Amino acid sequence: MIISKKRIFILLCATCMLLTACHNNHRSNTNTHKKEVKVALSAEVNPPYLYTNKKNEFIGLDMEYMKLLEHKLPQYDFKYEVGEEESNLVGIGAGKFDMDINWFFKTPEREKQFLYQDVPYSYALPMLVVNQNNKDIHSLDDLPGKKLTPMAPSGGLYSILSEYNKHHNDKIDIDTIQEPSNGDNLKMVSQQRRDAMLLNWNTYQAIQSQVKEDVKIGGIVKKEPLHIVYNKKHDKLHDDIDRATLELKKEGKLQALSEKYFDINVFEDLNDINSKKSQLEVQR
Amino acid sequence: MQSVNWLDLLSQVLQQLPITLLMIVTSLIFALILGFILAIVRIRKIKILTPIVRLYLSFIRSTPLLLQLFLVYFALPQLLLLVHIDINHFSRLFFVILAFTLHTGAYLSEIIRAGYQSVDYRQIEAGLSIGLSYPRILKEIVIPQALRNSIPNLTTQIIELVKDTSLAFTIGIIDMMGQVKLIIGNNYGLGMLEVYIVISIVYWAIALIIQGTLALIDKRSQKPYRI
Repeated sequence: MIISKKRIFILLCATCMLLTACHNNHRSNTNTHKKEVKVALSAEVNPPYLYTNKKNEFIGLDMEYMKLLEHKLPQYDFKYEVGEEESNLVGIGAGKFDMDINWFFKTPEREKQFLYQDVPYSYALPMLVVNQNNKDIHSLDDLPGKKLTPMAPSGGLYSILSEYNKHHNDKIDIDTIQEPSNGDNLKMVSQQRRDAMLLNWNTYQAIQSQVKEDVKIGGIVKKEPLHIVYNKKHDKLHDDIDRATLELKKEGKLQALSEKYFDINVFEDLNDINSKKSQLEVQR
Repeated sequence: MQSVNWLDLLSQVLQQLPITLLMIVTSLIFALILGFILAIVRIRKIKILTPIVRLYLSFIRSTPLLLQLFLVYFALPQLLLLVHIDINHFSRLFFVILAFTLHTGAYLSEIIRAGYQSVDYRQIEAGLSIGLSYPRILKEIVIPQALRNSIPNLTTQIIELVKDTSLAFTIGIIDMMGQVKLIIGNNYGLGMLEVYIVISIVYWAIALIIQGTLALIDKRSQKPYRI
């Protein structure tokens, strides 16, 4: 017993040292001149905005934008940490993180709690997927009385629909589940078990090019600006990043990023994008 | 649909096995220590401490582990900030291990206590009557039997801990379950089923190994008592 107690004690000490060593390293690395900014990255990856490579490093449009920002704002030292989206938001409120990037849409509830970036760095294109033979669903106004595929009860897509329901008398019927499968949802639309599915164009494109179901784009619903979310105290950081983003936009770098990842410029007008709907369609 | 590369999936998931094991082993060691301390408090009925331990056990058993993890990760640093201790920059592993230790320690203390009580008090009395000291009675009579009796419950609780570690990803530690979610996310939610099958098999295998080892220990320890 005594020997094993000793062993346990040694192991305990070793682990404690290991843990403190980790955090010491972390401290000594920080440059004294730079202000450290903790950036939360969402663990619910969302290619091509944010996803991981084989080495579990985060890549994608969001990360490239962050690299551009790092270049523009040398006074900050950006440190990235991963967490699930909901807990990241809690962490920002609790001061654990300074900002969070994962193509956040603006929702009124979140706006009360957090500081939003004023100059969006890109746009998402939420759209309606309909059956190949469908002709009457093009926008949100066509949805009341129709059956939608199940979606997650939080996040941007959900808030588009709940916002619509708040301001219209004809309500859209929303069906929620915790972790919807996009592949299954497309199949439901193609088999006409559901009338439409709301999802982002980039997701649609990636899935449809693999599964090739009998579906098509009903219409792009809107251009949803993407924002960084900050803790309320970070006015200065917010203003600095806004300024840098505006410069990047003027230099055409954000537009170039959009072209690189989507082959289209999401900064264009929605009507222009919608008129090129057939270009956006996945070739079968 | 593309054909599924099972081996590739498996190797991707197993990449994160070390971190899962690290969480399991360290939490288990700390939890055993905590469990012993809590069990001693309740067995010896130490004043003031006993009601506190009972309250603690009741809280741990009645709230979801996910909530406890959030409390440790988000609320504890805020609380400590009030007394000017800043632990926000600690490694996330620290918070996860702390949460799992607090959780599993509570359960283990009850298992240890049950083990102690499974030994008839008359055996202790018998020991005392022939002049053995209480520590000696514990060492020679009670603990060997108590440990043997608690092996089945211990097995269950360790396997429970293994499965609990899958919650670590909620605060961003990329363990095996985290890797699974990343694979699914990177693939736009396609091929969920295959990945879930792979991860179930991995967890199952770990559980079987633990179960097998402890069953072996159990068998060995029962040997002298078999008729």
